[in-house]
Amino acid sequence: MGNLRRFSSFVRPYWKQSLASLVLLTCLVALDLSIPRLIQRIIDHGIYRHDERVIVVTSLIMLGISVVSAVFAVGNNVFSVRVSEGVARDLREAIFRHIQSFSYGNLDEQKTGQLMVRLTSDVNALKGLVHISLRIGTRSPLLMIGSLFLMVRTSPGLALSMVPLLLLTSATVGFFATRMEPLFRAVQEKLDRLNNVLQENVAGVQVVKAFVRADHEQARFADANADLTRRSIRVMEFMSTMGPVLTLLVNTAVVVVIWVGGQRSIRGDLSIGQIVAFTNYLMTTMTPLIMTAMLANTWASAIVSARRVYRVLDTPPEIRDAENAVCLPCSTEGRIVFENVSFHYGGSHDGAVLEDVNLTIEPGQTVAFLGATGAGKTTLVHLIPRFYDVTAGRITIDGVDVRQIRQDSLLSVMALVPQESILFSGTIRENIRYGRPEADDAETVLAAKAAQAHDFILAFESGYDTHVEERGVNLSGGQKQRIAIARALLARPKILILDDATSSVDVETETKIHNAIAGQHFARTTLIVAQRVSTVLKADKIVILDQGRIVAQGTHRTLIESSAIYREICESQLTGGIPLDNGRGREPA
Amino acid sequence: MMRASTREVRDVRAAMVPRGPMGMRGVIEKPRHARGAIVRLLSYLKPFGGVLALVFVLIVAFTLCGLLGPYLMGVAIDRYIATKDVSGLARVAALMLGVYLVSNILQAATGWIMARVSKNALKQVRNDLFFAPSEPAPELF
Repeated sequence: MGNLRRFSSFVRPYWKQSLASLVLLTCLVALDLSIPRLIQRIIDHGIYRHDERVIVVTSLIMLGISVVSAVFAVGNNVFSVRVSEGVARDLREAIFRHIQSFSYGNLDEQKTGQLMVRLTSDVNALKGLVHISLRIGTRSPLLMIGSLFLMVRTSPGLALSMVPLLLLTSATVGFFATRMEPLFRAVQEKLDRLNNVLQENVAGVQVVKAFVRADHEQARFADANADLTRRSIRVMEFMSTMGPVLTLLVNTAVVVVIWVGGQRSIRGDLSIGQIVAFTNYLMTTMTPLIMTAMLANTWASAIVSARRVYRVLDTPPEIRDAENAVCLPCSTEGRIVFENVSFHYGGSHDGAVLEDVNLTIEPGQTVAFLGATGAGKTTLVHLIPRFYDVTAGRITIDGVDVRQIRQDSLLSVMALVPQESILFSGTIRENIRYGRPEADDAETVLAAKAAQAHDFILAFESGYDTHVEERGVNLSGGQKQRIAIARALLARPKILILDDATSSVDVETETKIHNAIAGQHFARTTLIVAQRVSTVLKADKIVILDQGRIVAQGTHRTLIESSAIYREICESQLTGGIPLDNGRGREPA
Repeated sequence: MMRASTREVRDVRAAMVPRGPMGMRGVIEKPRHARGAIVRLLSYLKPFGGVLALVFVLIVAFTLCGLLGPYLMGVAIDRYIATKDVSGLARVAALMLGVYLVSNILQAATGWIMARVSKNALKQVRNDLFFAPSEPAPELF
């Protein structure tokens, strides 16, 4: 409930439209309530007294009221849709903006699938609540109170005989309303489970096929599917029972009116018109009551959705600018120093990923990181742009602690090519210009040439205008990597970080890429996380990591003399041709 | 009850859209062969042919009962209240109650049967979609 109250702040900016919608609704209710009275007039004064003029005039009035009602109803709907859609848009934007501020640590906790649901289904549930509230939510109580009042005015005695049935109906509505939410929630849970199985299978279809586990997965899916079906049937049975039970109560009430009202009419206490009017008021009292039961589900799911949405909105970004954060000057050299840096994921103290790392990277140097999978190479380079913050020690750029630098300034001096190349749907040109949309064609081509992408891009029929499908599925792994490298080069960073960015590219092309980067001064300082010794031979400094510690550093020449590990790596790769750590490690190292 | 089922169809449809790590969705496809799709969907109801015939009879029955109620109300007013016949009024009131009771029981029974039919058919659709990934039949939607 507290979250729903907070959610109301999203509706507040639309208070004018909301008010307009509610005013129209109130007028609509007043008109609705006048109809039974007019019918009574037609019957008692027109039909029974054979006064044709009363029938015609009253009918015309009713017609007029219906037309005005229709106009009001349309107006009410227009305003309520504007409010609910506006609220949904604002909410989506707020969630999206907040997710943009998340750091890697936040995203490790909140899964992509969950965040997608927050932005879609949960927002829709809240939108539904706003819409329903403005259309029916307030109409029901108004209509009920008005009808009750008019029932008593039409015939107090008859109204009194309705009390037990009205109470019984209220109790029944309460009974159903409170039992509905758990049933719907169970369906939602089963649906989530089915989605999980499905998502895992779509994402991991190669693994499922490779390990011949299709039967196992099919059994899992069939099980989740059967579960969902069982639960859904329960809900539908419940709804199929609720509808007729409540209708029966209304019908019974009508029969009671005919029976009790009929006797009164026979005694001369009540006119036929009054009986008909009373029946109509009875209907307008009970229908909103039944509607309340239907709305209970909307309420329940909105409460759940509000809670889930606020869980996202209330998550503080793990990494934020310090209060007195500074901007890096244009003249930044790109001297990176690690001082006694240690790091654990999630702030836990067991299983340190990096331990007491001390390292100086001079401006203009090319530094390569080698080590087995899990040695901490990727983590080490992720600490420089503050994807995560160090647990102990500090990292400085030109002497300034990265935690004292504004994030936008910090990120503007560097470009990182991650292990997995992420491309967006759009043209190749748009993808390369992603980090610098204002770059001209000559610069784009230059970057693509350096990344050894130009030739294969031109081989496509549409060249740079070739459309990249979602996640780049129409390109090979090597092609995607080279476009990702071109994208980083075009940004002209002071610090370029290549995190195993050429793993899918052959050795020859890889060498060409590194030569081009070094020769054309695309970046001042270059950091390369590598699996292959051939990648790092020309580096100014090679850093060997083992279990989170730096075990050796130097040039190829000095290391081959001084480091046994390096010598071993070189021997296994350069002579035997066996790549380091059995190929291309995929998991973050 | 309709609301629940359509909502679920929509959710399942959303679930069928693969969401990778990037989770970006493409353009929503419009149904291309609407008629063919409907015929294919209807084929899922074939195993329930006999039950559906029963449902049809039930629907006709409860609709007629539902219509009978207001008719009896007219009879009560015109024939018994107007002529001040209390015992006739009692008979008609009792009859109305009975008709409404039967109508609602039939309606509930229809709902229960349809719950099984529609959800089991949906289950079959989902199973077929999952077990035949080579032809995911997106034109169904």
